[in-house]
Amino acid sequence: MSHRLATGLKRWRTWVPAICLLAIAVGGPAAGMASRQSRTAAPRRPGSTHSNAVSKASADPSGVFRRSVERAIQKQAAHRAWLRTPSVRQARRRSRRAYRGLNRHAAVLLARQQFRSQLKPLPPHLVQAPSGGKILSYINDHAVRVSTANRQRAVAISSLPLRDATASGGTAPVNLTLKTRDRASSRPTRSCQ
Amino acid sequence: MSIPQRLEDGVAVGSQGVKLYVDGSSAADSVGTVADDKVFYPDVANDTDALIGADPRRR
Repeated sequence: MSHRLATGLKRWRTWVPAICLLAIAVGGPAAGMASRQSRTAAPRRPGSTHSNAVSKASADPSGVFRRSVERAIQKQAAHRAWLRTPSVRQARRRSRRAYRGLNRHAAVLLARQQFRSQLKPLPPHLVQAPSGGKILSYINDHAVRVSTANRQRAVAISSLPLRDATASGGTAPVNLTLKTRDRASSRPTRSCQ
Repeated sequence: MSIPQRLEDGVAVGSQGVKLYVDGSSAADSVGTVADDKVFYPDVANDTDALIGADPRRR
């Protein structure tokens, strides 16, 4: 039995490469023809370098997508040009030496000083009451009742959920303060799914 | 949403297994520090730190 199996395996060793070669020989020209056909069949817009440009153009008739991409490219080019200016290059060079060796906590402290607005925590309620007013109650997950400074009442509506279910079965405002559940990752305390 | 301590583990979004990774020469080695509702990753690339947090407000 083992002898037959060994003989069969030896035969397969001969046949398998042959089948693979055959498959390549059959698939190769066919695949080549298909790609040639697609190259000749797909109409190209003047100036386009990719066939996807045709489908994107038809999906973006008003040109919003194209304009936003162009704006992003221009913004990136402007940022690169700004980075290349002598004063900015010098500042970056100085910055590399100035903060070398900072540990993580010192880096966070520095970031809090230098990038205060970016590191500013989100407000406890995602919806902000008018100046001088306050949030009175949640009508549902997307609407809250607020009071204004002159004691008038209004309803603020959000397309995003403003509260979420709690473990005890109630509801509470969304709270994006991070909680470290294990040492490997952190999650928002109560996020809107 | 789950923000990793090590940036190389990727930011998990939703329950469908979607993860976002930060591209950078030192991004894989960067270890984050929680700062309120964001995680700060120093030196993810040359002259670059990263800050990751959930912010549903529209910009």
